[in-house]
Amino acid sequence: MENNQTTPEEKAATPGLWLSNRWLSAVTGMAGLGKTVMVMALIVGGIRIFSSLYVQYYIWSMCLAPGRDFFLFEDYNWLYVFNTLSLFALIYLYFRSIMEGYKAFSLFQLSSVDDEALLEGQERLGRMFTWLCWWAGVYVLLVAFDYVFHYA
Amino acid sequence: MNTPLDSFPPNFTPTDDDRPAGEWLEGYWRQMAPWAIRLAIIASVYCLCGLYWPLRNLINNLGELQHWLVHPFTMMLYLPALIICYYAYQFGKMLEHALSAQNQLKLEEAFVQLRRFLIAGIVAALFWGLSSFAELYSTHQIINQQESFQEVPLESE
Repeated sequence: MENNQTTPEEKAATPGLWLSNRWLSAVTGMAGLGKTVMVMALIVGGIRIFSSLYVQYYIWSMCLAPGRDFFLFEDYNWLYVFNTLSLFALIYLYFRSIMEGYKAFSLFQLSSVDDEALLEGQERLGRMFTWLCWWAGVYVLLVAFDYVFHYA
Repeated sequence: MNTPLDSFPPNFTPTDDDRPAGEWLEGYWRQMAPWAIRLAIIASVYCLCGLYWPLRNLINNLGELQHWLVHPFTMMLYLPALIICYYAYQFGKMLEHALSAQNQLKLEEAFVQLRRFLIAGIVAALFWGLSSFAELYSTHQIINQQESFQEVPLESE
């Protein structure tokens, strides 16, 4: 990325994108905001997940109550198993994306002085969008499945 | 001297301190932009469905106060999320445009959209935090009611 030998005229004529001071200061400046959002997302996600796990615990305590037999394909037990597994998949995808985002914004704080931090931060920001996209996709599919199963 | 990113100059001329972004960084942006757009599209579909159901219930029950208390609040939960989707879409689109046209101003504008995405994220997180507390409380109430209902012995017993 370093190119100090070129004159300003040559620089202006060079096509491409630049690490301008304005861009770098904007990226460094948004690091604190990004970390705050990620911490808030962790807290909110934690509350929602606790609520969902609480419901799952209640369902499983009913399914596996003493004196009750458990058969996978009876009494919608397969649906409870599916819901529990999909909940854990959602938890993984969500926390993976938020952790990538948190690390990205932490690296952005150092990006004005450290090129490696800037590169890794941008890579992790991309991964945050990728994991968030998978999480949103799986979540929408599960909501659609739930709707079709109950109302169709 | 650094100027605020919101005030765009008419064109970009690199200064002595500016360096080319390089292939690696451009490669990361090239991968990032479509994912941001996909996220925006998927999440906005969910948000629009989330807005549609309470709106439909409200229209069907215009005369009832209870519906006026519940449904507008539910709709308010989805609005900040929809705004997040808009900024994520703008971020992805501007990044794509910056890369395809090698336009520095679009690159800087894309990161302004990312900052707005984060600000909207704070508002959405506050709303969803409140709704999550309400959901946790109501879940606890429902489970408690069910358990106390099951503990009451039948008269025949």
